[in-house]
This record gives sequence, structure tokens and C-alpha cells, in this order.
Amino acid sequence: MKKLINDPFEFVDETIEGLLLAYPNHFERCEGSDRALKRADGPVEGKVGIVTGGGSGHIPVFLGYVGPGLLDAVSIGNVFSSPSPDDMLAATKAADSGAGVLHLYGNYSGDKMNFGMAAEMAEMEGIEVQTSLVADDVVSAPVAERDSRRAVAGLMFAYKVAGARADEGASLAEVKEAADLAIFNTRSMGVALSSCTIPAAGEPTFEIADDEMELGMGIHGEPGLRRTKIMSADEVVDEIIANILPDLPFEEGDEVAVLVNGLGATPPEELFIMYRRVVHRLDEAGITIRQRYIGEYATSMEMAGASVSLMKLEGDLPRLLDAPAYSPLLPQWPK
Amino acid sequence: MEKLSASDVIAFLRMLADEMPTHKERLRELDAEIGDGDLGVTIAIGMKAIRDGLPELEGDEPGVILARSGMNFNREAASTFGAIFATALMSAGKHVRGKAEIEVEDLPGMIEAAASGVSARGGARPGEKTILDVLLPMAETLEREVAEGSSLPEAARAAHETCLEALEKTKEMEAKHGRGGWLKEKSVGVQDPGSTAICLMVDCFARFVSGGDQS
Repeated sequence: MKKLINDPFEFVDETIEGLLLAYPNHFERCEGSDRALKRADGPVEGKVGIVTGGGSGHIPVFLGYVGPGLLDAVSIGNVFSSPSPDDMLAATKAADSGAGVLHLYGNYSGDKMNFGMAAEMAEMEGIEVQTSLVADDVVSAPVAERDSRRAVAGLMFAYKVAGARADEGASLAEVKEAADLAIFNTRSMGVALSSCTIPAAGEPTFEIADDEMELGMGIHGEPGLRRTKIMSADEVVDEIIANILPDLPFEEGDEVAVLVNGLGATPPEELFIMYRRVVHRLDEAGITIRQRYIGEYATSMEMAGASVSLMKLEGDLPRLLDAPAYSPLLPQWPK
Repeated sequence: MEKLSASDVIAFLRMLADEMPTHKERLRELDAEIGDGDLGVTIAIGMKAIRDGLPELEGDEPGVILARSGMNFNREAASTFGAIFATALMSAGKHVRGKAEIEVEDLPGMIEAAASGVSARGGARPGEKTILDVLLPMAETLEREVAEGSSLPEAARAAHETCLEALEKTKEMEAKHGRGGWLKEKSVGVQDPGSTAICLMVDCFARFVSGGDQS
């Protein structure tokens, strides 16, 4: 293991400490938890609160999405493991201004179980809670079992859309509706070139030869579509697009937002090389790109690789993507 | 005892938290046969967390005391059983939200709420060797007892008898969840460890509402 860390078991807490020192005007701890952060200016009076959470090791997911026009609070687990229901409850209380709270997070069993408990406790305390689960990774289950798919970088679209809708003063039901539309319309697939190492584990999460890649791998190293000899950027994009387009399906005449996401160790140059091929492929398919995001939006520490996400734009989605939003951990939202 | 006030609920949880760790070794042995053997320790740690959390709950209503005790259990003893047991207490507590006292008429609904909460949380169905297999028969018994006008102690004792019969039946069931689920038919013949713990708790409850006399 080659990392710039101290005690591996302090990895998460020292990350939070550094973040709070770096952005004291943006983040604050939630009352009663060392593993929950909120917007420093929150909760916003009259606004529906949005809370997320999950394991650490994916910055800017999850805490980097807390901010104006985005999320209100986040609960933070150990690397790749769920936060506790107490942290989630602390975040939920910190996000509530009386208008209710949306729990918006990735479809992972530990997070679901713990958020479920936090939601029950919040309801006991008089806070109305609704839940939306992001499940965008097309290779993790067939389309007929969409509910069991895992979440990857498509989280970004759900966060942005829900955050903007809440900012407009929408009700909890309306914010959930917007989030669910973004989730339903988003499809993603990735590729991993090298593993990451969980600090407290000390060993790489999986073995992969220097000349191999895994198509469709999840952001914790979950098995993908297949292990293969390294392919060119164009070949990888072609295969990803071939898997994503028929899944929704995306069709000629559709407008989409595109996210080309780096997993941590892949340089921006390679993401632009991939994006260029995405544009060519979508042009050929008669699909118009209205918004594009290229950079690190959901990582896996030092894993090399990338993912492509498409969200079909319908109804309010273009407006909500364009709405102002800010977090110091995210690139600006392009118009 | 015909009703449980908030301070009765606290007194019951204190008795339960004192008693359950004494079954640690028996639960460990059962769980080691078909699980990972941590149930005894989980219950000992979780029950201590419940006990330690009680002073802070003085003044809360019975439902909140139950729900928060479930959270306290799972915080210190986070595990599958911790999450399931916490969910059961939270669901039961939610069922009596806003009430200052728990009456015998509340019990069937509380146990039903616990069962459906557990089922929703862990995805278990009846017959899969989980605590559902003792909770559901107990809910039925309690409904019948209430319909017949039984007192709280009578209903609690009847629920305990049903729990023991239902526990016996879990021996023939094949585990589908948790580590036991990997063992499949090898899990047959052993009674469900989680359900065993629930029966011990119901026994404690029946004695508590009967005036704390020994079984």
C-alpha cells in the first residue's frame, strides 16, 4: 500500500477534519454526530431537506454534493461501508426545516437497511421522510431487475436535479418526483484499469494484470461484464454506448446530458479522449447532447478507470440541471 | 399489571437487560451451529447499550423509549440481528406513538408491526427460519386473547407458550437468510437462534407483567 496517510483507521476522520478546516464557511458538523455534515447556512427555512450518505472513498460523492442548489446534509461511513442509522438521523434532523426530508442515496443493501431505520426514527420525531434510490449501473442487473441495480456516477444527476427542485420551493412529493425522473432516465457503465486499496485493509481490493481491464466494474470493485485485455479508448466507449443506449432506450431525436467520470487515477486528458468518441457515437445515433460534464464526480480513491452516464432530458430536467448550484468540491455547473 | 406506563417500560427493559446476558453462552452455542456464533455476544453488548441508554429516556413516552432502545442496541452491537431487532422495537414503538400507556389491546398490533417491519427490512418471509416465524404466530395468539378479553398477564403468558411452540417448528425449517442461508439443508434440526432469543425476551415480559415472580 502506497498512500499519503497516517493511521489507516483515522483515514475518514482526518479527511473530515481537513475538509472542515478548508471550507469552514461551507460545511458544519451536524449536532450529535462526528460522521455527519450539513450546509453551514442550513437548514434553509421552508425548503425540503435532502440527505444522502454512504461509505467514504468516493469524493466528491457523497459529502461534496452538500451545498446551495444541491444537498443539505450527509452521513459519512467508513471506507466503502454504510454510515450508522444515528449518523443518518443526525443528518436528517439537521436538514429539516419543517418541510420534510428526502433520503436520496445509492441502492446498496447496508445503506438501505440503515437509512430505513433512520427514516423510522425521524418519523417518530415528527419529520416526514421520503426515499429515492439511485440505481444507474446497467451491467449490475438486467433491465427487468432495475430495482436491484447498484448506483455509480449517475448519483450526480439525481443530486443536481433534486437539489434544484427543492431550491425552487417544491414540496417533498415534487422533489421526490423530480429525483425519480432523473434516476429513471439515467444509465451508466464503467471500466476499471487498476484496483484501489481500502486503507484499513492494506491490500488492493482486487487483482488485475497490467495489460487487463474490467468492463462494467462497480465503484467498489464489484464484478462487471467481463475481464479483457486492454482496449483502446474508442473501443471501450463503443462498448459502453452499445450497452447503455438500448437499456432505456435512448432513441434518435432524444436530448441527453452526458457525464464522463474519472474514477480517481485516470487523467482528464483520457476523459476528453473518451468524451470525443461519445459525441461521435451519439451524433451517429441522432441523439443531441445538451449538457456535458467531464471530470471527477464519483471516484474510487486511486482506482484507474472511467464511466459514462447518459440522462435523457425530459420535462423539467434541462431547467433543473442549469439551475445555480455550488460546492467547493465540484467543478462549476456549465450552462 | 394491566397497563404499561413509561416508567414500567423502562423497568421492564432494565430487567430484560439484566437477564438476557445470562443466556449468552446458550445463544452463542446455538448460533455457532448455523450462524457465525456472535449472537450471544451481540445480545450481551446490545442489552448493555439498552440499559446504559435508559436514564436518558426518562420522561419520554413508551413508544419512543422502545424505538430509541432499539437504536441504542444496534449502535453498540451493529450486526444483522442488531438491525433486525432494532427494527422490531422501532416498528412496535411507532405503533403506540403518542400513547402514554401500553394496554393489552395494543400488543397484537405492536407484534404485527414488528413483524412487517422486520420483513420489509430484511426481505424475509414466513417459513425461512427467522424471528418472523415466532412473531407472526404470537401476533395471532395475542389477537385471540384480546378478543376473549384476557388480562395483560394472561395474554403475555399465552404469547410465550405460542412462541415456544413456534420456536420448536423452526427446527424443521431451512435457513434462507444470513450465514445460515449458505448452509441450506444443514440448518435443518437446529432451532433458530434469533427466535430463541425472542422467546427468552417474551418469557421475561410475561413474568414482568405478572408481577416479576420467577418462572
